[in-house]
Amino acid sequence: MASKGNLTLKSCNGKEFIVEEKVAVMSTTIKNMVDVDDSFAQGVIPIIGVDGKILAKLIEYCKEHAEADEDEEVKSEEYLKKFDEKFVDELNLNDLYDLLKASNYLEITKLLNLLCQKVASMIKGKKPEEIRRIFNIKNDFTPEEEEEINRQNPWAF
Amino acid sequence: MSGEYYSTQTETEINKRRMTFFFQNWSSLNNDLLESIFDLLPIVDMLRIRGVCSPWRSLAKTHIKSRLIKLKLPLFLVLPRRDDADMYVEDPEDCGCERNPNVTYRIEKDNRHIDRLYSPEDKSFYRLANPLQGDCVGSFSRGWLMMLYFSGKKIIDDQGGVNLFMYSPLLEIKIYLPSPLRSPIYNEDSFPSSCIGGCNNRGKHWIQKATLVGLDDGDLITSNRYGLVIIYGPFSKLAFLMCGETQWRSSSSFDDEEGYVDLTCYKNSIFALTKGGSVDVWKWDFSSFDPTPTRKMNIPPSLPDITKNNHKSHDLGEYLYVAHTKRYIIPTHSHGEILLVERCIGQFVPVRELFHVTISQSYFTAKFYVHRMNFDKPEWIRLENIGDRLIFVGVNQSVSFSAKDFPGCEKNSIYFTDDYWEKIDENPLYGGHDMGFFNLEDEHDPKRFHDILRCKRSPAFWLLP
Repeated sequence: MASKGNLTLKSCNGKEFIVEEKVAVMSTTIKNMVDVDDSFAQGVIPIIGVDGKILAKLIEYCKEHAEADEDEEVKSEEYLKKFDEKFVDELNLNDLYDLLKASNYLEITKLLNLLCQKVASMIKGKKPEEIRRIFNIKNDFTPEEEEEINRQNPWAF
Repeated sequence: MSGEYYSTQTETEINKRRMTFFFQNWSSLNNDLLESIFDLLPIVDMLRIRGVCSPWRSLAKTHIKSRLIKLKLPLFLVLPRRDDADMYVEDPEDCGCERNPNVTYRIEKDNRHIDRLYSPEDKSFYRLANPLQGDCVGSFSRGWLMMLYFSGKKIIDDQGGVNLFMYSPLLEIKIYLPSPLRSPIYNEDSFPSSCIGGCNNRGKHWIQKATLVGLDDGDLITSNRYGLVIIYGPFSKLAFLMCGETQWRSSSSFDDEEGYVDLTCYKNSIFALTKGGSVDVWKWDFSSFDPTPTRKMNIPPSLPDITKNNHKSHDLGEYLYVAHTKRYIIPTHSHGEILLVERCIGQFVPVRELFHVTISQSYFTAKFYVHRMNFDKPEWIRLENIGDRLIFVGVNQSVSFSAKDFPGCEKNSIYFTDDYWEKIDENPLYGGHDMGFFNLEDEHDPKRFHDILRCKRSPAFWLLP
C-alpha cells in the first residue's frame, strides 16, 4: 500500500501532472494499479490514450470531489452540484466524447454518471435526425434498414 | 490479488481501448457506455434512437427488448376521474386500504382530476402522473389502451372522423390510428346521446370492443406483425387494421347483420361472437391486409334462458330480476379452450322491505355462467367451475389468467367492470358502479368492490398485465 503522498500521472502526449494520491485514486483503475504494485506509487503512471487536455479536466473534476469527500464542511453538496453543472456545460462535443471514454477507462464512476446524464439529456425528446445533427452522426442505414424503420410503427410518434 | 493477475488483464484491456480511442465518433461509442446512457432514457426516446444509425439501432433494439421483458406489469383497475370527488373520502386509509410504500409510480398531491389506479393484488391505490386524456374504448395486454380523444365537447373532427390512438399509460407512449369511420356526413348529431346527465361514454358509439391480434409473445412496440380488430359503429360490425395500414378494412365475408358483441384472438385466428351466440372465424397471418374468413359456426341458442331461472336464485331473490345479459368470448391458452361467459345483470325493484338498496345503484350483475366451446359439433357446454383460472371482463379485451400469477385475487372467479352502456348514462345518479368479482363456487351474489372505487359517469376498466 502506498502511503498518502503525491502521484505523477503522464498523459499519452507526454504531459506530466503531479496530483495528490487521494485525487488520483478517485479513479478505480489507478487505485487498483497503486494497490497491487508499489512501484507505481513512486514512479510515473502512464495514462494511455488520454491526452494532456483531457487529463487536466479529469484532474480538475477529481480534485473538487476528492476534497469534498474529505471534508463536507468546505464543499457543500450544493457547491458540488453547481460545479458539476458548470463542468459539463463548458464541454464541447469532442471533449465530452473523450471525457466519457476516459472516465469509463479510468473508472471514475461519479464523473461517468454525470457525463452519461449529460448525453442522455441531449438525446431526450429529440427526433433521430436531430440526434444525428447534434452528435455529428452519419446516416449509415442501408435502403433495407431504412425501409424497415419506416415500416415500424408508422402510426407512431 | 497478485501482480500477475493485474498485468495480464489490464494490458489487453488497454490495448483494446487504444485502438478506438482517437476518433470522436459517437456512432461507434463502446456498447457499455451507450448502454449506460440508454438506461437513463425513457422507452419512447429509445424507440426514436432506433432511427439514428446502424450501431445505435442494433443496440437499442436489444436494449428495448430486455427492458420490456424486465418490466413485469401489474394488474390495475383504472378509475377515471370523478366529478363528484368531494362527496367521497379520497384517502385510501379511510376505507381500510393501504398505500404501498414500495411504489415507483409517482403519486401526485392534487388528486382532484387525476386518474387513479387500484391494484386488487395489494389492495392499494396509485396515481398516474399524466392523467388519461380521452375516452377508453379498449384495453389490451401489456398495459395498452385504445382511446378516443374528444376536443372539448366536439366529437367529430373536420373530416368527419375521430381521433383514435393507442396509449400505454405506464410507458407514456402514444400510437396514432386512423379513424374507423370517416365521412363528411357525420356530425355532432350522428350519434345522439339519450341520457339525462349528458353522455359521457360517447366512444362506445364508435367502438364497442377492440382486440389485438398476433402478439402472442411479443410487445406492440417492438413488433410490426400485429393487427387490430374492432366492433364498431351503430350496427356493431367488424373492422380490421394491420400494423402500418392507413385504413380500416371492414368485414363483409359473413352475413353479419346480427352484429357482434365480443371478439378474441386464439392461435392466429379471430373469433367473433354474434349476439345470438354463434361464432365467426377468420385466419390472419398478416400475409395480407385482410384476414381470411374460415368458418362460420352456427350454434343453436341452446343456452339456458336466464331470465326464467334466475328470478329467485340468490340472496336478493325476487327483488332483483335479470334485465339484461352480456356475453364475452375468451380464449384460455393454458387449457386450449374457448369460453363463453354470460353475465346476467339484474335490475332492482324498489320495494319497501329492501330499504338498503338505494336507487343510485339500480342495476347490478347477479350471476355468471361459463360455457366451453365444443369445436366438433359445434356447441357450448356448460362449465361448473374454471379451476385456478381468473377471467376479466368489461371494457377490456376479455382475458383469462392463471390465478397463481395474481396471489391477491380469488381463483375460479370472474372479475368484472361496468360495461352496461345502455344504462350507464341513463341517470346521473348511477352508472359505472357495477364492478366486483364472482366466484363460480359461491352461491351468493358477486362481491362488490368497495364504494371508493365507484366511478360515476365513466366506468372503471382493467389495465391488463
